[in-house]
Amino acid sequence: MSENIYKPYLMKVAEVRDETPDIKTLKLEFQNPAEGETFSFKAGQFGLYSAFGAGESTFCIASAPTRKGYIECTFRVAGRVTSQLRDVNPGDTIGFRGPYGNTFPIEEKFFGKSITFVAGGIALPPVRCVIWNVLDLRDKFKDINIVYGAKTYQDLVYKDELQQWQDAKDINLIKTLDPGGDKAEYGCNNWDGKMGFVPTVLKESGINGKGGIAVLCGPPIMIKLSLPVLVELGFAKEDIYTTLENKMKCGLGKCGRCNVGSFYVCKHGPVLTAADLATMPDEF
Amino acid sequence: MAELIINRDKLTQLLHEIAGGETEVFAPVLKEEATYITKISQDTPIHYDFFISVNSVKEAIFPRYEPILKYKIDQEGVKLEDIPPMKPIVLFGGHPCDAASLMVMEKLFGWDYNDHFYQDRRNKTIVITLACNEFDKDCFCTSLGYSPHGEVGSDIVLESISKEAWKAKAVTDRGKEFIEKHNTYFAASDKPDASFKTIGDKDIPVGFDKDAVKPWIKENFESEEWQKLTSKCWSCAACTYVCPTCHCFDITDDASMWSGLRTKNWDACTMPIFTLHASQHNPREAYYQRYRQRIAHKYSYYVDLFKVISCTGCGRCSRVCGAGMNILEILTRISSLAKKGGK
Repeated sequence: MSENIYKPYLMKVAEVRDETPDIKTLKLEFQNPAEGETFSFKAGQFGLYSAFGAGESTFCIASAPTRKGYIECTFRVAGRVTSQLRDVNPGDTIGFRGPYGNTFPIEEKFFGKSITFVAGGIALPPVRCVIWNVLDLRDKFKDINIVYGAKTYQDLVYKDELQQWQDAKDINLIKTLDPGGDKAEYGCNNWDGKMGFVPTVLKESGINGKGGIAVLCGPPIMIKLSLPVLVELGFAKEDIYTTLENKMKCGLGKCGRCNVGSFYVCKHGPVLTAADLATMPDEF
Repeated sequence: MAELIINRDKLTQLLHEIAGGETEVFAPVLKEEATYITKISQDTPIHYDFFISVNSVKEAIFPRYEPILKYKIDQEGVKLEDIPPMKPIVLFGGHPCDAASLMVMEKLFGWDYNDHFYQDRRNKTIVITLACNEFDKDCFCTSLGYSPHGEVGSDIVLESISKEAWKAKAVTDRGKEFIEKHNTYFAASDKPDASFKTIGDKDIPVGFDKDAVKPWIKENFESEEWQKLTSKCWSCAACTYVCPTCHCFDITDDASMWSGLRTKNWDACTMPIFTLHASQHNPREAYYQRYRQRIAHKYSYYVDLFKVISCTGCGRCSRVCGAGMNILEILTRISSLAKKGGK
């Protein structure tokens, strides 16, 4: 019998965390421990998570490959599948197919360099995977900068981890809220970060990009506005990495919807550099 | 192998006999005055007097709705169940453009990850093709290097020698074995009907230069011409459903409280929801962007990936289009712009 490429692993929900009113994180363990032992992935890869009865949705793996035995995903509740995933409890079973796609070349290109992470809103999860991967191997890198922004205080994800990064002496965390995002109605009390959009805050960050690596992830408009700022800070286009997101159904290069020109996000991506991005048609 | 002949009565008997066994048989059937290639049973009347079926042969191998996973949910959790192996298929009644499309499609489904739903079924299919006796203004197989008597993708090609009979040509070893296994249905020779008329390659004019299309698309992604070429499209997606090489699909769950099926379903790049993100951002928001994707995918991206154009010139998309879009006209325009160096 031929192998069914659409067959998911069965995953046990180990932990459910509320990030924001409409964003959740699930910690998942393999129901069959033998599958968990042979499973491996690298930073940047993604998978299809299924709520049985509702369907599948595509999210990145938000946990780091350096942390074995489980994976995590963080998602915004938007439709049928994510609504059902919102309602799972520890002990419930969901499906996972993956890992798919290419990876950040951490060992090959990032080792020995300063790394600057730039993320906006719900785009922190794919970057968080790389952040923990890098932090778990901290002595392999020079400076670590993290620039993270969200619309409002309420929209910041991983608030506990932001605090950990802020407290760490060897990490430069710059967090920001869009103008007006620090109001009490968003649960904000004595905001100690910046106020302003990510590209602006990035510009004023004083980060020296020369010889460094940047990892940028966010909504398309944030990417488009942040790219020139990163170049201005001294990063080479070949050293600015991002992950593209497009709607996907299969993750395997078959269903035909995630392509940007001949570039299939699910197979040739999702990780690519600003230099790659510049060669692609403007259709993402 | 000596030249063998089969006539309508014998072929009908043969297909009906096979349909009575474990093999699925697909053949042309008349439904409301139109011909469709569809799964038949032992007594389904087979329709022979048609020019080209409305649907393509793809649905025999790539069904419009196909379970890819079964599951049960009970107190103990979720249990996955296997989908039974594919049954062998005899696929009769496509033309050479249909058979060629199978060769195009298998490249995608075998790319890197092997989609065994497609590939196993494809490998278990005997393709019996009807060489063309007719064509219309929308046919353009010759523009793509194919022929109304072409053999690509077929196991057996049937060439008409009269209104009622064909000369059977085995193209592959599997086709040869099929004829040998069923040799009682074939006759050694028959008198060709001298008055019977068929067509040759030269009857279908070469409308455009296929090699000029991809470079033009690469150079002119932002050309205003796209909006002119596609202005009539209303995104109904009929073109993609009748197309033998359109392969895009959706995956959805079809479930009750305690059990369910995960299914692969035909989808269409011409529909706005196809690429709509959860954030409501849509990289292909406008009609022209979606139709550009359809043409560029077939004539540029697919060629980059698999070295073959994902179109075989059957013309079905033009015949079915309610808005009057015509792919041959579009490709002819692109090819002539490319020749003139225009944008």
